[in-house]
Amino acid sequence: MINLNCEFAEKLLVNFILDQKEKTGAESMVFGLSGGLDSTVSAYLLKEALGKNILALILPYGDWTKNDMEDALMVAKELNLNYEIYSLDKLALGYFEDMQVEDRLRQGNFVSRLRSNVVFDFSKKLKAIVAGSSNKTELLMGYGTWYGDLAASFYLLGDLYKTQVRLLAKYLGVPDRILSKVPTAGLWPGQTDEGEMGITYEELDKILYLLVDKRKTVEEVISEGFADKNVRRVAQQVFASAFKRKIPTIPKLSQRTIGADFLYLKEYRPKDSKTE
Amino acid sequence: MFKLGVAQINPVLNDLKHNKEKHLSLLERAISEKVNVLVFPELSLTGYYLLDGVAEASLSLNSPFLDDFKKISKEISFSLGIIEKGTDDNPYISQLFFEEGEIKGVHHKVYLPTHGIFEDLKYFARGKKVAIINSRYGKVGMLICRDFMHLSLNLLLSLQGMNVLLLSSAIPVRGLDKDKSFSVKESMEYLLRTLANYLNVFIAFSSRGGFEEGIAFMGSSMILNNYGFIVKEGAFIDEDFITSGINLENIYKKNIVFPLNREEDLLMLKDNIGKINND
Repeated sequence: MINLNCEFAEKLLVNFILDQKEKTGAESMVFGLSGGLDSTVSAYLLKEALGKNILALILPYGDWTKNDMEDALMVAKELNLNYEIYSLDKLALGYFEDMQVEDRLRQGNFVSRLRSNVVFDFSKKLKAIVAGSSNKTELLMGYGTWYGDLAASFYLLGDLYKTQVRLLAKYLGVPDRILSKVPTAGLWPGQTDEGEMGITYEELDKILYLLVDKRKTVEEVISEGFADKNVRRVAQQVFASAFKRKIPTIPKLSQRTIGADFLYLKEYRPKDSKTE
Repeated sequence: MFKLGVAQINPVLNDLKHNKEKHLSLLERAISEKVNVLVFPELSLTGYYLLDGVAEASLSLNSPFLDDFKKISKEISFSLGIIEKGTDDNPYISQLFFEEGEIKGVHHKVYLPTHGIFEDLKYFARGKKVAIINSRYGKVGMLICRDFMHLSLNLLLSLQGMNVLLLSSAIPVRGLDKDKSFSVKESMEYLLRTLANYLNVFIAFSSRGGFEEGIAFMGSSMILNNYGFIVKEGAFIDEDFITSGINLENIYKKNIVFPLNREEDLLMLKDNIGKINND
């Protein structure tokens, strides 16, 4: 049902990376490499577009992400990437101890935000911009840490469902070891996306595709054979997570308000180039 | 015989000076390749998503900024896209046809899509006229993007005797969720092949490439013969330059064996359109 013209998608995404680099004036791009499917696909595309002008940041915490770290290193070596490894243990554990943070979701989010701090610090150091690897499934479900892994200059894979990222990964020659991994946000040991969301990506993507891309109603999707409870929960979650996909709300006071009626693309520049 | 060309470019948003240089250098290239008519995409001089920048990017038809184009049009005929500050003090999405040192024709985009990713009618006034241009290279019709998806406007031009149709577009890539090709391109091929064949016209479809923020424009320009075959095709999203020889005599030949045009009954059409209740 959900397919992908991988040849054109690859070309579009590689051109997009080059276009972003040119328009932002960035000298390079940095990104977090977890060893999971999404950041690995980003690595392949960024490498193809920019060659050596990228930096992969491998940012483990505790032993939660040991296997992932090995995979991340394998990808970095396979693609001959520039990379840095920095353990977040010291930063995170100090805070967790001082503030007695034991809740695993709070810990997971905190580490995710520390990770984005490091990534953005490197982006400043290298006059770079940050490539985010969130996919369409995660973005629609709000399955990501606000200002954590969701913090980025752009979401390279943001219009591809997880199952499409997988198709593209196969097309790009991503190693089987990474293709066959169980997706995890790495928020705590043993955590899996599908376990936490309570639905498989295959089913979730089909439901989202019908609701969003095909503009079907909840009832229409259910009538195609999907479980009533799953469809309703997915539809509810898409709207409940809208806040993660937009700039923070601004109460309008003036004649012209950011986001409401001050409307320009990011790449727009006023020019005094006419002779009229 | 003449040579028809399409300049598939990626204009820089709001950088009219840069875009003008690009137009002039491609016009020089076209002249050197003996192209007679060159077509640029929609809003080729300004870029597409100007939004609140529409007024700043607009030009009057008598702007000295266009003088270089008038000058070079003594050597080549061409169409390009601007935001026009109209004589009625409204902004239009315009396609200008330059020939023999002057602006010989102007088309204001009639149908301004305002849904989904499109906001044309929010920023621009609607064109109200569709007329052919008597060019050195035939009876030329110009339409802009959404315009030519309305069969009515193509028919209006055809009834005026059009034999060359110049189409200019900025079409966002959509529908890559299939094995091959993508939905907007398939849709364009289907439409243009039908128009070329059944209206018995040659078509140059100039479709911009490049990006504006996350929107990629499809490129994939086409030149079609009057039998509905795609004879040249531009690259996907990249810039490109395509040309093809055109023999207008083929229109006459086709009219002899497949006389759709002379079957068309203008009076009957007028009569029936007049009777359609507009409720």
